[in-house]
Amino acid sequence: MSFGLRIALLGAALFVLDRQLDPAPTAPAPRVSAARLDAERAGFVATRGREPDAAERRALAERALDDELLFREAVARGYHRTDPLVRRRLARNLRFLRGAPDGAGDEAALHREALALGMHASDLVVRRRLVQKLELALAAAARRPEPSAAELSAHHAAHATRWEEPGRVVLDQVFLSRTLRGGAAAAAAHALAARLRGGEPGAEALGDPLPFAAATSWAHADLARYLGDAFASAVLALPVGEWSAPLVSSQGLHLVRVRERRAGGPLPLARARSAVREDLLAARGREARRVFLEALRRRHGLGRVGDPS
Amino acid sequence: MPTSGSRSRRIQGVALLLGAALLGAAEAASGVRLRERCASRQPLRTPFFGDTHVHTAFSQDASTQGTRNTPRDAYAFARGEPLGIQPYAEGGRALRTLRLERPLDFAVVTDHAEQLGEVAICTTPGAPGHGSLVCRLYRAWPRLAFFVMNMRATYWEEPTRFDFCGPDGVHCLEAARGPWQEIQAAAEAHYDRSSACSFTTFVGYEWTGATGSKNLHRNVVFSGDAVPELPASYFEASSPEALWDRLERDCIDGLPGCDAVVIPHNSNLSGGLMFESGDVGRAEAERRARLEPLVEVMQHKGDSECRLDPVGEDELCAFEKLPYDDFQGKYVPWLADEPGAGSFVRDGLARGLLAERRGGGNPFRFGLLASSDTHLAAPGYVDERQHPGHGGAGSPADTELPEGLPDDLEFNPGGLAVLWAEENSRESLFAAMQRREAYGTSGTRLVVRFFGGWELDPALCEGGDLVATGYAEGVPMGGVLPAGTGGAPRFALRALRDPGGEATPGTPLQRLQIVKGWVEGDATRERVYDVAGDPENGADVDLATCTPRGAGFDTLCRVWQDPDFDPSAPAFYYARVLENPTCRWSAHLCLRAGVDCEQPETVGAGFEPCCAEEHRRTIQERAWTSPIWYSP
Repeated sequence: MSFGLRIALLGAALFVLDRQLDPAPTAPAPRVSAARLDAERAGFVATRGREPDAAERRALAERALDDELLFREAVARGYHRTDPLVRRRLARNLRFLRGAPDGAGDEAALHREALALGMHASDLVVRRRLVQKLELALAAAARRPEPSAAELSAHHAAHATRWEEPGRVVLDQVFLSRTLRGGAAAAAAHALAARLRGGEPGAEALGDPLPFAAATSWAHADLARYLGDAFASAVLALPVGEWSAPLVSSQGLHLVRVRERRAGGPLPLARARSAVREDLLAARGREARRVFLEALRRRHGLGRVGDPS
Repeated sequence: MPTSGSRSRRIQGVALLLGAALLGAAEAASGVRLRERCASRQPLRTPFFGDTHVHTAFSQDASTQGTRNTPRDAYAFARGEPLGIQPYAEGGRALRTLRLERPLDFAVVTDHAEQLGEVAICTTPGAPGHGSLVCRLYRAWPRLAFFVMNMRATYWEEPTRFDFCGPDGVHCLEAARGPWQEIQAAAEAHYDRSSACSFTTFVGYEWTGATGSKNLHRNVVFSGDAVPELPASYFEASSPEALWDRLERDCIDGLPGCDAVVIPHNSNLSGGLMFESGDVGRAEAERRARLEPLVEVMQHKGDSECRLDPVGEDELCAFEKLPYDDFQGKYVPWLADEPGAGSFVRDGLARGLLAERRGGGNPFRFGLLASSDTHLAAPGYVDERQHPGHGGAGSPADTELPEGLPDDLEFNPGGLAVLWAEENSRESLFAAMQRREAYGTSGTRLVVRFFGGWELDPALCEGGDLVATGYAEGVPMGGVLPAGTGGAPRFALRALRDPGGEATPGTPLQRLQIVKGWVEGDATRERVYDVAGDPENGADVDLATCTPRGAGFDTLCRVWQDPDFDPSAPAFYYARVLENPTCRWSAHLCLRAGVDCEQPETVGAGFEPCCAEEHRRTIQERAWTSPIWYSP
């Protein structure tokens, strides 16, 4: 089953379930008020330091409409009746309105009364809490079922460049330390290069110990960490199987023979599975939210903001 | 009959299905997201460079000076992407762009927990409190709001939120959920869970506690993606003890898969409170040492290693020192006190020994690291040659670039945290933090190893395998020496110069030092030993061009035995690695601006500090290793 189809079915299932809980919308169709749009624009200006352009104004309006739809949906699911924080807050708001001290009265009764007065719809904290609760529920639902092997494989194939590994080389290396040999290191390196190229037995043992732990294979970053970018780039560009001329690093001179070169590039799925899975689940969550919102819009007879419908 | 190819594909398919099922089951069982095994793993450990102290637009003191970059921007920057920073032109175009020549291996965004919700409310029209006086101030006069909001959040012993936060701060706590979720999502989005293990993030925050502006600030770093529902701020936890309680309740003991380390910082601004007393009892000392394995020794707002004593023997303590001991002293100079004992890490380490000698356990068994404390969302941007000013308490650049120096003269670009770990993953790096196998640098990327043991071969530097032997026969930095076998301990120390980048060459090393602290009677003593290199190598800087002059060392190595060892005295030993002198950030900028203090007409507006008496034109970049302790 394709990723898109699975998401569409998930969205449809959530929608059908919801229709059973709350079969028909009786409230007026959600709309975004001019005051809300003004507030969104003001928020944009406060954080970005400029007026939104036309596309950004449209995006702000879309977001405001989505927010309203999600709020209504959360209410339709009864979250405003069951969420403990909403209950506490609405009870407190009602006490405040009546001048009652904190803790006075039965919280459950105050909560029911506040709901009957529609106070949950006008309190931004409650609205945000309900919307966030619904979004968390959608995101959690989207993480199930566990992605199938085929889904993982398809997602990996579609976005392979997101998971790449660097090229690596396996080296023979003879190091001539500037610290130990001073100015004689360069001449020694040139002399030793000739012996290595001539295949002299034991010549590889004539260098100095590396002043750090050697790796079995090296990426650019591994070499650059100790010996510098220029040296790392030079080593990665060497042909396989030949002793190099002396290469200068921040520590001295190196004679290097690349035994094996492992090309970098996109990782196979087997070595990126956890990352692919997280990426897929995040994409699934975003897509589930989009599908869910579209279903809500259709249900309320709404198109995108700016559409004639 | 299936072909071998189709059979192979079928087996692969089954394996994939099984793998997927196992992944899901494992996640469901543990609540922790998984990752692939790293392709590159070094059993003898690699030095990973990072920044554990990073603020973004979610921090009030960053947003009020024009920072618009988010946690996602910060992580992208740490990985090598360019970052536009303030000021911004019409249309939102950033007027400055930063980029790391050498990306980091890891980073932790640590926005202030205290005003996450307040900032969200003040930037969300319609939110309860959006129209409050404080929020209007925040939007119209951000720099004034910086002081008003900071005073409220971090000055009092029992801080209370603004009225617009509602009863018990409920509005602000609710509003903090959005940014806290986004901080987690940003960390997840940038954590490389593939076998490439190219970059690691941690979810974290800063607890910004202070008493009368005396800084007790701490960064909290979580081990994985299991984190508390909300960060515990100074409002909810108004003492370090309360913070540790909350972390134990909401994370370590109360949330499966959750663990945390706490990293105190800027003890130099604590007015002596950070390491006030080590006598807290054995159980509490052990708890503190477990929860706080590391301390930030240096950052943008100064060095906290050691007190500058004008008649003392350690002249190298004169490094990036602030001239006041709390923030009140910065803004109200006539109330400024000289930084004193109790404000510096070396004092803390020594007081910990004293507490141990008294039988109460050592609560100050800190490893050392450094970080930037950037308020531009620019982790690791610590090169002296290109300091943009890190904001926060420094010079703001919200609407236009200030004339002259981009930061207050006493501040600096900050440092780096280095962790010795087997691989670049959360598990491996977090374990390094917990065992304190860490060091800090003032921004350089030099590499240093430090081992202690009783029988280390004195010839290790001449060809022995220092690293393998160090682990096999001793303990690495951050460790505690096992019981002795007679004689004095030996320490193997090796440093490699920073190889530099193509545009930013590294600087040769000058010398290695070992700093020892110990208990003598009821007092603590300290001594600094030069153990390798040449303090009289004559290296200096041509101030006319900011060009370093003189030779130095690519590598320095020494196996050193304590000549003054007293087996009855608890002691700590840490290494300090010094480079040859280079120009300080301010000297680079003064030079580029053509300032000649002999010719007043060359001193442009804002460049007056270039010619101030207290202007230090050169510095010696350095690294500080975590100590190795001897505990009789």
